[in-house]
Amino acid sequence: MELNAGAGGNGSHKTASERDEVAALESLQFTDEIRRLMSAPGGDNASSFTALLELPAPQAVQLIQSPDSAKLIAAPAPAPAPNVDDFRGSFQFPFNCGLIDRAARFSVFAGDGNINGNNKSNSPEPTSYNSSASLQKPVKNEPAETESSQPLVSDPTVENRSIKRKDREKVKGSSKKSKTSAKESSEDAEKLPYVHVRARRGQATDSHSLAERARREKINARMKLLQDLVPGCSKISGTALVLDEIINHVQSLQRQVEFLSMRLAAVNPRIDFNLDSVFTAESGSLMDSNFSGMVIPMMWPEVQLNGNRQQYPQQLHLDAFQQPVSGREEVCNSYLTPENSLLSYDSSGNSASLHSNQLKMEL
Amino acid sequence: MEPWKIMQPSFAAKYVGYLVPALNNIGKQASPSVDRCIDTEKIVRYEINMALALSAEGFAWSHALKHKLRPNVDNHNHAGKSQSYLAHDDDHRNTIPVNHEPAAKKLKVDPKRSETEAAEEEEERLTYLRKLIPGGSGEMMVDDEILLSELGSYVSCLELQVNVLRSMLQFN
Repeated sequence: MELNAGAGGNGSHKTASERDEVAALESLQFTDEIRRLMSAPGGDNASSFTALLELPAPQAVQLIQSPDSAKLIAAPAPAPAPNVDDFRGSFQFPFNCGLIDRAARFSVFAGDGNINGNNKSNSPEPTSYNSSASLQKPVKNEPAETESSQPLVSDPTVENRSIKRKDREKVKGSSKKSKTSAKESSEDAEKLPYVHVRARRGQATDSHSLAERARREKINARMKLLQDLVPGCSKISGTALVLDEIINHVQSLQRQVEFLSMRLAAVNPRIDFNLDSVFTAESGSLMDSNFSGMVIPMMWPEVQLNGNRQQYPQQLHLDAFQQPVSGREEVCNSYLTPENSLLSYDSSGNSASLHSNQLKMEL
Repeated sequence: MEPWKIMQPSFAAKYVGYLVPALNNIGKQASPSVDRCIDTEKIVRYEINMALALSAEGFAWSHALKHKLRPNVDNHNHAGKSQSYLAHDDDHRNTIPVNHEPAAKKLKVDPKRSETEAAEEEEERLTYLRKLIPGGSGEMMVDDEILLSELGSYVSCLELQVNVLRSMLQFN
């Protein structure tokens, strides 16, 4: 029988030897059913399998008891349609764990659409088989397996296909193991996104890259603050674009200052500036601005110098506003709304300085 | 994270406190000469920037700006300083047409750029920003983190400054 021949041709695998015995016993009985399933159009897997279940009881029992032959039948079932999972769910009868295993593995196989392409034709071409094998996770075991089972390919029988599938299954099982080892050894062969992430995180064990990551996170936090600060940036994703926006904003602000200074210079000789009116005007305009993203750094050494401040013309009544009081007190509370009540200073050693505003970075 | 809101009123106060008297002084130094307009502009610009630098002490950029305006020499030479500031201004003006370059580059870039390309672009932007912010090329802001936080404070102070100047012009 063809089936026997197919099975016999693969004597190198121990499962093949098992299959020999089983196939010899049941080949005659199942061939017709198998052929029927094969020729079924892309129909329901479940229906074809349950159709098979309508076999006479002894055959069904044999089906259950022999995982290999069950695989023979299960094999063509995915042929018409790719999703074996449907068909797996239609199992209504108890069966042994080996069957579950193999069915599970088959479902993984069937997830590869190429198996269907391979199985539909009665004369599967070696190329299609090879392509399907190669599309599976490339493992060193596979080429060896494919080569050994290539002689089977020319046999246009289900048995052959099932054997190939079994090989592939075996290859797949081993490929899974080698995959896990590959994952550990080299981080380049991942296909799953999860493994990608893990691979990247694997690099973080290096202290240098840990610091790099921490730095990166800090930079990203600052970028977020800047995004809040610059109008219209929060929707933009991507650091470069956000930086572009920031550049534009800074340049526009600088241009505005230029323009206003020119206007001021034009106005200046004629008008004596009135401080009070300026302050009352400002209190409204200032509160409208969005300054939530401001980060205030630690003090700079220059700030501790007191000399330069005194050189500038300052009216006496303004000095009270400009000298930060040590501790936490309001500044400029005489004319501006006291909403902002707390001034946080880095008072470590510098609060004595009259002109230093040391504002601590709070993040 | 509201320390900036706290700094806001003090900034305004200091800024105005510095600038208004300075401007008044300019007005009082009446010397009828043809060049006065230009000088006035320079002086005003100088005073505006000095007011900014003094109102926002504690930042690297304000420190750098102050030093650019008065390179730690104790001469209060307005013309000289405004010359140097004018040079700074020219930088601004020269960079305005250059501004279109990063945008153009952004458009040309393939959206599926790789990580390294994105990082390079970031670097380009950051170097450009360093030119914009006073002291950006200096030693204090070599670190990107610091640069970004300085940018935050600089942008906020610029906005404040614009508001102050507008209100000064509006009500006088």
